[in-house]
Amino acid sequence: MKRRLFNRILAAAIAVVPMSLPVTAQTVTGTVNVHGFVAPRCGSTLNGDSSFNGTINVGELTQTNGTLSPTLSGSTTNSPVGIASFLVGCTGGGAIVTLSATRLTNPVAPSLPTSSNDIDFTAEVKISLGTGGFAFVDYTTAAPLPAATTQTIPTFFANVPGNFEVRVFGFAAENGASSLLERMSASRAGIVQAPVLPRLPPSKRRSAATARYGIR
Amino acid sequence: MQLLFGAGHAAVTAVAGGSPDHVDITLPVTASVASRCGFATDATPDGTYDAADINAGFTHDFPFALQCNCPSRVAVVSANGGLLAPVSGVPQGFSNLAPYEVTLSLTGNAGVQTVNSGCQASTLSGSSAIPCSFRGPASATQGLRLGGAADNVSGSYLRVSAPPYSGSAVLVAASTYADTLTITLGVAI
Repeated sequence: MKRRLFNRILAAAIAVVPMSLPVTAQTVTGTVNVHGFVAPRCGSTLNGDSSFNGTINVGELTQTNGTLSPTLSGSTTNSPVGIASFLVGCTGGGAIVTLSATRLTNPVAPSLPTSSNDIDFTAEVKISLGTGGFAFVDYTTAAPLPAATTQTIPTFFANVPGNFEVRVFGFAAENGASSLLERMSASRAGIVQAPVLPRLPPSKRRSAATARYGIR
Repeated sequence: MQLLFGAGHAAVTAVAGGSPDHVDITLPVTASVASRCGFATDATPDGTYDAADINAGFTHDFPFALQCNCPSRVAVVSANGGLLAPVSGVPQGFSNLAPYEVTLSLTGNAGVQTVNSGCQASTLSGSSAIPCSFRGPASATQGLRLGGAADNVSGSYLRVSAPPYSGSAVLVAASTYADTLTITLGVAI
């Protein structure tokens, strides 16, 4: 009898003990997406929208007899008279390079009609390519000045200093190699311009680099 | 017969027949509340941010709120380790992976110290050799730890940011730079 009562009481006591809940450690998740773009651009710095410029000084134009120096007239792409180089970066391939130049001109009218007042030359842009090798864009001055040379560079410019060289060579006096170049007080100045535009349509172009070189 | 319930204990005394023959039984009464942790309703770190030109830099916060009755950990995994553009044939000196930083800030209930930490997205990728301290997935021991409960407290955020790009490699032009961050939350030890 006593044991039966005890068992009943014990069963009742246990019945009031709540069952413990298991400790759970669930993991929940969220997801975010981040998008962005890099605009097509060309510049003299990575983010630059700037133009850049410099001067190529070819020095004395004449030899001792007063005609154009053979150093200038005999210069070629492999032995240019002057080089100016920069780092020009474009964020994509297919950049468009336009090259133009003006003749080296004596601002003072010559005293002899056989003298040469204007000197033509070839300007060349030599571009190091990211895939190796080079691309060349050439322009030769004349009277009248021809249209600018426009050329698409199909691949990336190499991202190395001096990847964009402007060279001048092949100088020629307008009235021939035997014509005199009269002494002048002012420099005979020519200008080489080489704007570089990214490939996309103008509405999407973010910036362009423009090289402007004075030749004297 | 008595059933006595003390603080967390059940004491049972059985007396029968007026005799001193009785037995005392003390049984612990136990219960538990499971550690639970989640993002508060409608406050999950979800969404999409469209940065402008990456070269100019950007910053954006994804706010969220924790609903945790215990210390918690939040961790993040970056799918790409940066903003990746699916461009092939990228030459040397250029890159199609733009770096950015991920900052976590966790806010709990009053008295719980707010915690912050930031890492480059590159260290949040699954393949990073030197991972960020809060690279996911979250576990009891992995992730940024908030030391107390957070009952739907606002103020927590995941920030994505980048200063104006100044890397030596030129970022290639593309309109499809993207990354996905997966944020996981779990109970901390």
